[in-house]
Amino acid sequence: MRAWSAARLRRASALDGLAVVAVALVVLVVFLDEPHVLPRTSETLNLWPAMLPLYAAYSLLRMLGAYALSLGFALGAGYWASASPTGRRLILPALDVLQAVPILGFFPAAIFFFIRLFHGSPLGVEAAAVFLIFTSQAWNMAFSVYESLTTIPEDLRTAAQVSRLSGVVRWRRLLLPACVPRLVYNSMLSWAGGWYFLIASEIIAVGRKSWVLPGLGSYIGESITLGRHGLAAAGLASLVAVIVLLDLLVWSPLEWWSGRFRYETSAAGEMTAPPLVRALLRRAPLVRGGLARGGRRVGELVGRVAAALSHALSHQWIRPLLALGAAGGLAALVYGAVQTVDVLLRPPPPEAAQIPVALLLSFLRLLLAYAISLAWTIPLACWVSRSARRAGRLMPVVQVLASVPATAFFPVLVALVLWLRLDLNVSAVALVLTGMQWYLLFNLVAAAQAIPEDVRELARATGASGFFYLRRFFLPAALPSLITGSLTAWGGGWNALVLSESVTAAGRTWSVKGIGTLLDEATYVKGDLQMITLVIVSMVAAVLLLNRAVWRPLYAWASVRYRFDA
Amino acid sequence: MPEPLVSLVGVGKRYEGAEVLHEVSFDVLPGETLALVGPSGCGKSTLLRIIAGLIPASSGEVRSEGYLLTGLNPATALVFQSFALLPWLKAAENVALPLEARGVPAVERLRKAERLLDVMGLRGHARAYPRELSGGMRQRVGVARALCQDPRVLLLDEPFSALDVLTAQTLRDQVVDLLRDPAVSTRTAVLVTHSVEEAVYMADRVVAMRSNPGRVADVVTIDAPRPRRWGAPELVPFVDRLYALMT
Repeated sequence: MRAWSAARLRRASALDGLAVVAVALVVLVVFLDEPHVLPRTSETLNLWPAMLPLYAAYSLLRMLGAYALSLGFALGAGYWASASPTGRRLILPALDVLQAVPILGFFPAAIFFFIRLFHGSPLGVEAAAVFLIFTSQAWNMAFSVYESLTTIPEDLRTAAQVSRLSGVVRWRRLLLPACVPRLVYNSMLSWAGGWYFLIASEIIAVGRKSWVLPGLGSYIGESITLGRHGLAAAGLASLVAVIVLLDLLVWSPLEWWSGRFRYETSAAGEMTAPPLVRALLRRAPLVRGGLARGGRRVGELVGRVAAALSHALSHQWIRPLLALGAAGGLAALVYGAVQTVDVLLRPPPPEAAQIPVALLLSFLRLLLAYAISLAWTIPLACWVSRSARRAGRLMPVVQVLASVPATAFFPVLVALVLWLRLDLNVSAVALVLTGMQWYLLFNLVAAAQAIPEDVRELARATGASGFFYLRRFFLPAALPSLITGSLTAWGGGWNALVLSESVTAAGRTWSVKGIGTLLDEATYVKGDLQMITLVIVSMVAAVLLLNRAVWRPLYAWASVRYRFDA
Repeated sequence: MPEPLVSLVGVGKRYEGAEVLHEVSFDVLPGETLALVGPSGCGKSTLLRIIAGLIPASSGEVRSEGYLLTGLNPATALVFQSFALLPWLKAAENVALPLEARGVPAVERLRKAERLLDVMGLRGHARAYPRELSGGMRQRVGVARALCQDPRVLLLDEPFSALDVLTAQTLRDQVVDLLRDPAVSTRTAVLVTHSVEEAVYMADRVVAMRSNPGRVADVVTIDAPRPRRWGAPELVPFVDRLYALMT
């Protein structure tokens, strides 16, 4: 899940255009001109339910690996961007573009790359999955570190400076604590997004029968494929259990703890600890002591590493290394650009003529799913906005619903559509919908809750209700959030598209015409490098164009015209 | 005449071409409380930060204990208008921060921090987080943190402006007493304030400044006896004189 903010929207630069090239480079470096033979295993998953804890552990390990990578990347990139103008100029636009591209489209490319890197070992598929999750988690976390570090109040910075804080102590006492609130919040978003992509990668792997990523996602996918619906339900239940448990035991305590690192110095805004945390703190002094000690250790360790890195960055000898890295990157970029141009200049394969129509069809599916999302989220959020209590009752339910990665429902939905003999367009739109609707709902509800109390009273006092209230009060108040939510929802939608247009179940592949299907065929049926490049480049171009031409101008307009503090 | 602790000779400061400070010269003498007063925008806070070594002067020279200042001034410690306490550290940890930065072991630095909190009248609040303290208490923690560096010169940047009238008055008296307290080694202070009354009440000498660009109008010696009383008739002539100088 990607969080967008006004600042972020404004920050993107002309690098967008370059991004298309850079992205193509990844594809090209990966495929080059070698034959694309994938290791095929005849291995199948053991669907015995007692294996579920093991699969849950596998899935969790992938998540943890990716999260650790993301955290490291976020601290490094965020610090660099905050500390050096060069870093800022390179990192911020790059992050902006990386956030916007449909990551799932690159999964096949990532698999090829890592399998080659690991010389055909299945570890390559694991690495690809971890990498895919990483790409869904890292960018907003890096933004949050950057924002945290650049918004440290000037006086606190000066106080640290006159207290001669440096190195490890500076990281432990100033920089890391300053990052905690935003980083924890974004970690929660990233973690949820990570599940989405983890399950997706496991399911993609299963769907093609060419490699196996044992985990909860593949378990669900495999049981549906084999028509074992009871087992699929068990897999889904385990997934929900793991997610809810993690939320209770890890994220909600962390969120509570992060409140200590906020700058508001009034005691009034302090959150009460969640019940489970209170019980732990009261009844288990050993746990409490252990947590405190563990926390200190981790803080110290991260501080040490970060200090060593930032120290190294300020050293002379690192300069040649950085220059070398930059030169290497540039060379790769040029090589990629040349390759891309070469591929694009070659006479296009006959299928390439389908791209515009496919793109249009996919776009129409997204538009339909978007309309359906709006049709139910706006009235609901409008209803919530009338009183603060309604949100309190609704949100816990919605949060549980939304916490289950929509990708886990993909096999279920597909099975349902096939069973009901509906048109596959129905499932395609439904799948895209699951990838879009929550972003809209959460943004709209947040906006509903942010309506000032006096405006709410005014609405009551004037007897505004129904459509009049919607048009004169709710929509104007929610418009900036609606646009932010739409932007994110479309991002989620493009990602879901890759999975939803072409599905494999019970040994057969069903597909509807669209850009996702084209990518699918090019990757798995034909192994056509030129076609893959063309499809990805045109999809990325479409996404960036849409962001540039529609959402950004809209946001710029709405955020000036409709806000309360102006 | 004793050797000055800090001396400024012809100090100027430019920001992007605009002159903020012009040819500022004065000394800070050991044992005195020197106040800088002036209208907002006269560069008095900038001047304080130049003395602290946080920002370099564009021209002229700053000497601290006779040495030309090139980086952070080791003889000074700064107290902020906004208190600038780290909200995630307890009071004692905030106070001990400069010692931690120097690598002083935890037991030792916390002992010193608690002693200073005692001196500031905050016995028993060592383990409180800043958000649990009132504004006046927070600023006492801020002063204790500065004292923890054993500075020769205490730099106070509008330290009472964010406090209510009564708390501010109590804290002024406390700082005046502190600089004569045997439990504390610091004897010298530079106070930046926009309140002429506050400057006259607390200082031995007052540097009156004017703006556009910031420059010294005159230095006035407040030779009224201590302890002083806020608004006492013998202080009124000094107040009038300073107002006249600044406008």
